[in-house]
Amino acid sequence: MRAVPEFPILPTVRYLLVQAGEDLCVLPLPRVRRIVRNLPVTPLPGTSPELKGLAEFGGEPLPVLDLARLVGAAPGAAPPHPLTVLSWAGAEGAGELVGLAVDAVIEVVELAAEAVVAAGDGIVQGEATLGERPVRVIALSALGGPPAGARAAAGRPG
Amino acid sequence: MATIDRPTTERVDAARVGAGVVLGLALAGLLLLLAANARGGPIWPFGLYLVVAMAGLALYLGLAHRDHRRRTAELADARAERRGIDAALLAVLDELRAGDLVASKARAKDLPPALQDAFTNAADAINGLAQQIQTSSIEVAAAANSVNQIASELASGSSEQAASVVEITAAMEELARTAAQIADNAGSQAELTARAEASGNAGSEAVDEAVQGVEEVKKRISGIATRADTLGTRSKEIYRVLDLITDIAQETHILSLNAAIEAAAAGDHGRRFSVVAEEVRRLAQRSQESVESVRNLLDEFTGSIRATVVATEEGSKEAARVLERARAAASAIDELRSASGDTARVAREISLATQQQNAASDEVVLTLKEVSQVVQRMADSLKQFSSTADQLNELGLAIQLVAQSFHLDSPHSLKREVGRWAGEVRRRLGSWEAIESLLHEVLGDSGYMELAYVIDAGGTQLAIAINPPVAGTDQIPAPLRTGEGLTDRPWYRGVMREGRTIITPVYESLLSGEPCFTVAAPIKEDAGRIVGVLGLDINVDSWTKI
Amino acid sequence: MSGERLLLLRRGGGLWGVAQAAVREVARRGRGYRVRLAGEHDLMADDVVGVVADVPVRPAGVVSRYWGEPAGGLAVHGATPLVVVDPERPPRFLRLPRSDETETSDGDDRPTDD
Repeated sequence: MRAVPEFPILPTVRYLLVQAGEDLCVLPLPRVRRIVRNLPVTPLPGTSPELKGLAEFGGEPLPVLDLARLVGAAPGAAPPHPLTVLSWAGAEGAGELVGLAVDAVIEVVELAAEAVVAAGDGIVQGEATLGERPVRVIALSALGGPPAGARAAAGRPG
Repeated sequence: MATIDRPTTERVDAARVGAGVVLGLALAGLLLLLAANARGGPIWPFGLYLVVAMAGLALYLGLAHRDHRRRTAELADARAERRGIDAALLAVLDELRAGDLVASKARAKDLPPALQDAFTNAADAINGLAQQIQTSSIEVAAAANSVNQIASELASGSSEQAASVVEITAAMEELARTAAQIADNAGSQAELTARAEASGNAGSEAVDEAVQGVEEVKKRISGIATRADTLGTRSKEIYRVLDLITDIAQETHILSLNAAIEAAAAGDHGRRFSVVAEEVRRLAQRSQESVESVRNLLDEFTGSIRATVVATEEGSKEAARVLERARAAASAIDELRSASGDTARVAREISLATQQQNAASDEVVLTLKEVSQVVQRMADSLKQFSSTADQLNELGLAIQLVAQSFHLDSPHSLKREVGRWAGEVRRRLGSWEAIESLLHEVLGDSGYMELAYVIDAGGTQLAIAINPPVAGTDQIPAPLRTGEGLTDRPWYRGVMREGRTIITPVYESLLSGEPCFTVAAPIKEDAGRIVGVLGLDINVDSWTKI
Repeated sequence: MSGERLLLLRRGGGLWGVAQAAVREVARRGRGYRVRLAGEHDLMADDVVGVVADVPVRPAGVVSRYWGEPAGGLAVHGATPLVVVDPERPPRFLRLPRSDETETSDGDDRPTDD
């Protein structure tokens, strides 16, 4: 009897597939804290368009960023259910919880590491193909402000 | 002069009667004597009576015979005288027969005074009558002329009038034809408008039915719209439910994702939970997909509902517009019916009026025809009148000529004047120039004579003169100029035969071609022998106009 | 950062905080307030909420990166997020020039640019 060949198990990373404008983006699932609907956001005067404003989650201030503007995606139609993906931004273990406003949250997907074509050091880490759809792989580590020390008490880095 | 008068005749008769009485008495005595003798009685009274009767008879006869002889002598004298009177009377009557009142009066001098006076009175009366007749005949001729002129003018006028009446009649007939045509057209128009009226009525009923139908449709559309609204309301409720379900599905989806996130954070311990989370996510997804399907169906349904609502709204609006138009049409039809009614009434009135006009035109035409007939009869009557006037004119001329047949002691008497001129000619016999000069003078003074001429007793023309203004020419025709055949002329022969002035009947003049007559007078020497004839041709028209 | 004592004020629809220690004076200014700080700048506010103590302030983080204004930190009061301003470098739209000393200004005050 022939032995069943062993195929190497390729390492995959789980991502959260979201719709940002007209682009599909994947957020590394370990960095995703929560998906929240209809999060009230208070705009801050004089900010850039990427910063939608401030919100509150779990008693903590939460900056909310527009993912579509962050990645430079063309704006889509107004989402029927605006969602905010609470994610850890910044360096691992030292990031801050930010809200990423997206048009839709689709599903959890797995991507092989080799499937990601690196795109640079910016917030768009690379691009991959999911099914026949191109997706942008977001590097939340590139997002965030100056390191601020301890995380908020409500969450832990993923 | 002894006369046999009526008393003489009566005496003779009385003598006869007397003799008869005496004789009768005698005879009676004789009979008595005989009777007495027969009776045997005394007869001597009766004899005495008889003797006396006989004596008386003898005496009476003797006296009667003597008277008779005397009377017979007187009768013979009277007869002789009468013969003389008769001769004179015949002479007077002869002159009178010839119409020569002048000569007859001269002859009357031979009549006994009483007879002379009586004849003179009669002649004067006849003279006066003849002159009156002459004068009246002149007036009659003039009047006849005027009447003729008037009749001619009237005839001319009536002819023109008749022509005008004919024109008017023709125009009226044309008018009548036009009126008849108008009447026909009006009648047709009346029928058309009546049909239009009927059509209007039918149209109005149809519109009313259409309006009712549209209102019914409108109600049904309204009902449909109400039900569509109800469906739309239900659809909205369903949408709300779908939204709720969608919301729930969305929440479930997020919940599942959050669960997957927590499961991932739990590491290996969360693996089974991540499976559940995934199932929940799929359930949420299916729910969402079902909701989407239902939403799509509901969208289609609501789309249909909206389309139905829109269609019903549009249908309702359209029905309202149709209703409005139908009502406008009904109003217009009502107006049209009213107008048609008015038009029909007017057309009927026009038809009636034109029929009346037609009848009136016919009556007028008939009347004009009657007038035309009357005018024509009047024209005919005027023609007759003119003819009568002509006859009157001729009669007047005839009366004038009859009046002129009398030789009157009047300047109007042609015979008198011609006789006078004949006397003048006699005094100029031997010089034809003098005679001709006299003839020209006579023609120039008259104004109505065409020609004057003198012929001797042998029929030779001694002189002739023409009056161009009356004769119409200054050329004497050859026969007249040469004097051929004059002795055969009736005026010559009449004069030579009668020895007095004569007037010929009217004839056509060789010169003027117009009616004329000749007055011819004998030219006598003192002894009464005719030595020539003076002839004057008188133009009737010129003569009657003087 | 441990809890701080903050003066909370409202301006432009948002809630702002400034360390009470940096506040010298709060005065009415027209329909709003002038908050005189220890530094060079004054702040203008539509409303002054009050002073709250022991407010945990976390670093501004991405807010500083995308706001363009220096921020002292972020905090929450009640359920309302707020930005804690740096009293030495308050945001421009909160600033009130010291030259504008009039207390009776009417109408909406608009942010001035330095």
